[in-house]
Amino acid sequence: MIGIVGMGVFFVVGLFVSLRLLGLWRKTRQLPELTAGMGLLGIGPLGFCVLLGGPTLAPGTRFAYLSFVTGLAVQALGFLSASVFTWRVFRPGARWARAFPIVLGAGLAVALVGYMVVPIGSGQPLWHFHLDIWLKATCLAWGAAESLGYWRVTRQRVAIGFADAVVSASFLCWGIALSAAALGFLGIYFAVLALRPGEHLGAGVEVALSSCGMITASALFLAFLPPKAYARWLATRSPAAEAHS
Amino acid sequence: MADSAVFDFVAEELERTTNLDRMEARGMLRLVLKQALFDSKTLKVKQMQMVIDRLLAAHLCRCGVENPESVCEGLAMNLKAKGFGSGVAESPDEIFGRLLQRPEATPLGGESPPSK
Repeated sequence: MIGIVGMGVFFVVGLFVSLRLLGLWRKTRQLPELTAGMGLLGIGPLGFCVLLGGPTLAPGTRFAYLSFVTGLAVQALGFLSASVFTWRVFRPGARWARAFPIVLGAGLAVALVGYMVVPIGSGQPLWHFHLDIWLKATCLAWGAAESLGYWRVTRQRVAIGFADAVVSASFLCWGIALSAAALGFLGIYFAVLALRPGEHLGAGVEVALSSCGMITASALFLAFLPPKAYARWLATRSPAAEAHS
Repeated sequence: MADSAVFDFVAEELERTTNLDRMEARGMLRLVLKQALFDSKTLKVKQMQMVIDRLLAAHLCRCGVENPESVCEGLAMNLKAKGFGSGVAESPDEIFGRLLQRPEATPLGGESPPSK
């Protein structure tokens, strides 16, 4: 039950935030809005919905596996969008950052072909599972590192009145959200590696994954939909604001 | 990585409109940017405008430049007139400020005044 709660909250918040970002994109037509919205929707609500829909509705059937692979494809597009967002926002001038989405997209496509050609069974995970999870975790960790690194700089700028406290905090929250999501993916990875044939994920793993979902959802909410009271609290905490009062 | 076009432009303007030579103008500008925690290589127009508005006059004064306020006003006007807007990538602050879409936020720059 607790596993469903965490993932459910993540699903709802992810859906709301991604639709809001895509709505914003309709107004601005800017790449960051589109890639953030698509990334969040693909990795989160839409990806997981398709990924788990088939196996939940018709377990063990061909439809279930088709739904699973389609969900992975949707998620791959989400990760591709997320990596474009990280490149465009934090490293627009770096060649290696421009190359990252290309490498990621190619790697995830190879993993996807692997899933289609060599279906996963109850035995030990195959090469495409390792490739898929590590690429996804790397993509999330890169975004988290960039955002948290930028937050460190803006936090200092806030202290001298050269940055907005709420915008600065949103870098922190976005970094936390991506870190928790990366941990969630790695959690699934190591949990699956530890499974014996025929065994299912334990309650402890579900609680851990649920916690990652809760943290991601809370951080996403504060990053993109900061409540007025929270924004006010952040603004009053900054030394520059104190100097004004 | 070379300095940003905005940095080069302002440094050249300082050299042209004050008694500072190339080395002094660029060195002083780097010091001001360091104080504001901005990077000369990725400097954006709005960041430079903030630095001109808030910090530059005092540094010009220390360097013995006459009428620092009017120099800053001229710099700000010329920077605006230069039209770096298109072609220069936005800063992460500007992008996140837009994603937050808080009308009261001042993306990139100054603190938002506490809401009443």
